[in-house]
Amino acid sequence: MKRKLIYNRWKVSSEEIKKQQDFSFILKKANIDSSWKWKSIGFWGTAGTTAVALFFIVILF
Amino acid sequence: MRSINPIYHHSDQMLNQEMEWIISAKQDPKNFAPLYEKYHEQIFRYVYQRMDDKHLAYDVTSQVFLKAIKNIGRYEYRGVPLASWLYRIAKSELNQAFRDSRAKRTINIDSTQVATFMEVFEEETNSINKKRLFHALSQLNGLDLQLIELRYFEDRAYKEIGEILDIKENNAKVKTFRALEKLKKLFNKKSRL
Repeated sequence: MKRKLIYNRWKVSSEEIKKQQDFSFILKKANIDSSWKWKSIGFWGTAGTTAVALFFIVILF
Repeated sequence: MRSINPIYHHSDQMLNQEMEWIISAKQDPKNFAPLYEKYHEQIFRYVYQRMDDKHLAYDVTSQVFLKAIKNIGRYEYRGVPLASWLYRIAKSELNQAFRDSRAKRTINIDSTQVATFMEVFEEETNSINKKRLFHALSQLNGLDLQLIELRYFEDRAYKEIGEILDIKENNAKVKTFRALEKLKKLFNKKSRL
């Protein structure tokens, strides 16, 4: 991997970093991402397979 | 002797406080807030030290905390600060950013660090030696560069390096020594060219 070398870069102040803190944004994103599980192919694939299996179990027995 | 990073190295009381925050964050992600406030700056600095784009460094830092919140349920306390776990997530997020070509692997060095190396190598600090050092650093493999950065750029103790890289403290010491030897070899090789 090619690397870039930077000499004597200006140090970012603690105040500037603190200003960038946004916990509510991360929390919101975490909630959105977890709600995506309901819309994922994996979820519906598993749910669909289970439904089909249950259907056959009910029909056969 | 190196200074101890007070944010990383905790007293038993601090570890207990952190443990309480972790338990409560496992119950409700909202309770992760004090851990986020405590570690945001040091994780950002760790990320930004290794890349050139500040805004992207903030993004990667957010990604680290997002992953941490999502996986806090699986976190197992091992008697060390949560920081070591966060650093491991940061390391993996950084590698992902480099693989996706979103970020460029960057070595950030300042004049004080150059002077430290010259002292270790028993060489004079001048522009030629500075160039030799830059070339040698760019030739190091990924792990050796990481060890050099953690120890000589960020001034971390071997215990902390071990926890970040998930290796024993003594192993961290040996590997860092070998990495420094390799750097010295590359530095001297360049001088013979």
